[in-house]
Amino acid sequence: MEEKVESLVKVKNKLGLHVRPATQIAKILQKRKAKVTLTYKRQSVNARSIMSIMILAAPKNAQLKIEAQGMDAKETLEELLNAFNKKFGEDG
Amino acid sequence: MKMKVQDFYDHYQESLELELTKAQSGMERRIRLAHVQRPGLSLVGYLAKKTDSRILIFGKMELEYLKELSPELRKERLEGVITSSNPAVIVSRGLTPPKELTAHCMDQEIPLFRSTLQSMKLMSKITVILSDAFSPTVSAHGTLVEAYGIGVLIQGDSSVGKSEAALGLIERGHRLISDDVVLIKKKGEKGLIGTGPKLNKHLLELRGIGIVNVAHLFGAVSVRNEAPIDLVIHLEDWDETHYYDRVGLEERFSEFLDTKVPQYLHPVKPGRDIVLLIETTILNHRLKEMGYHSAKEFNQKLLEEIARKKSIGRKG
Repeated sequence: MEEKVESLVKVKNKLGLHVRPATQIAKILQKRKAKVTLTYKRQSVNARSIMSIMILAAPKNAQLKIEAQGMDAKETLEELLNAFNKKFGEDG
Repeated sequence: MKMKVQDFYDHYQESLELELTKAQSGMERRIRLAHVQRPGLSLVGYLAKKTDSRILIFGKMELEYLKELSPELRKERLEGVITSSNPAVIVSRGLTPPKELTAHCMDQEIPLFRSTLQSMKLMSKITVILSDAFSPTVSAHGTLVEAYGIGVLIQGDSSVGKSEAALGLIERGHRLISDDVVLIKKKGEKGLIGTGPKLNKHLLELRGIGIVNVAHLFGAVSVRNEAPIDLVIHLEDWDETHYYDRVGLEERFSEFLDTKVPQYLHPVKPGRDIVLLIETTILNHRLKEMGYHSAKEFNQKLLEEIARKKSIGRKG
C-alpha cells in the first residue's frame, strides 16, 4: 500500500544542515524505499541527494517540511524526525 | 635479516671501492648487525665499548697508532678488538694493513678488505647500505602501480579486478611495479617503498589471457622497479548495504610496518570506470597534498552560506 506522510521539523543543531547531517540523512534513506522530499523556503529537493540537501543551506532553527511516500513512508519519516531531534548527534 | 659477506662484496664491491686482501677465508660469514665501527679507543685497550658482531673499519689513525706499538703489543691489542664474531674488517684509504692484522684475520677466518675510500665516507655508505638491507619488510597482497608520480597499492579480494585496473592504468601511460605480491620495506621514519619479487617482475596475470609481460607489450616506459606507497585503493564488489563516502571528508588508513597510508574504498560495478576513478583519486590526493582539499573547501563554503542565511533570518 502506498502511504504518503508529511511533517514539519526544525533544524536543532548549531551548524545547520551541513555536510555531516546531509550525509546522515542519505545514510538513513539508503536502507529505505520511500521517496522523500525536503522543502525549505519553497525549494523542494530529493533527500537522497546529499548535494541537494546541502544546497538548501538550512541554518539552525530553520523550519523544513519532510514528505515521504512509499511502502515504508511512516517508519522513514519517524527515523528522519528522530535524527533531526537528536541534532544528528552533534552538540549545540 | 642477515647478509653473507660474499653477497655484500659482490653487490657493493664497486660502490665501496673494495678489494679483498690475502685474508680471504670466511666469506660465508653473515652480517647480522647494521653497524659499522671504527675500533678507536678499543685499540688502546679500553674494551668497555663492544665491537663484536660489527664490521670494523681501520682508518689512518688506527693504523698510525698500531705502528707505534711493539709487535707483541700490536698483536695483543688486535686480538682483543677483533674476535670471531666480527663478520669483516676493512682498511680504508687504500692503506696497507700491518702484518699482524692480516695474520690475525687469517687465523680467525675473517675476511679483510681494503677500500680506497676515506673512513668517514666508507662508514656512512655502509651504514646506508646495511640499514636499507636490514630494514623491516612485509609482503602484501595487491598490485602496485605508479601514476602521476604517486605510488598506489591496489588491494581487494582476488578476482575483484586489481590486475585489470592495473592494465587500464598502464595502457594510459602509467607504470606497473608488481602484480599480486608486493614487498613493502620501510624507508626512513615515515616512508614505505614497494617492490616486487624477482620472479614475477613486470608480469601481469589476467583472467582469460594468462600471464603477460608488460615491459614487452607496452615498452620500458610502462614498468618501474620500485615506488613509494603513497596511498592504498581498496576495490570491493558493490555492496548495497554499505554506505560509500560521497563527500570525501572521511579519512581512512591502511597500516604497514606501523606506518599509516591513506586508503580509499572503491566499489566496483558494471558501468563504473575504475581506471578513471583511480586516476581521479590520485589527482585529488595530489591536490590535497598541495594543500587544496575539495571537500573541506566545499564544507567551509557551505558553513559560511548557512551562517549568512541565519543572520539574514534574524534581521528579518
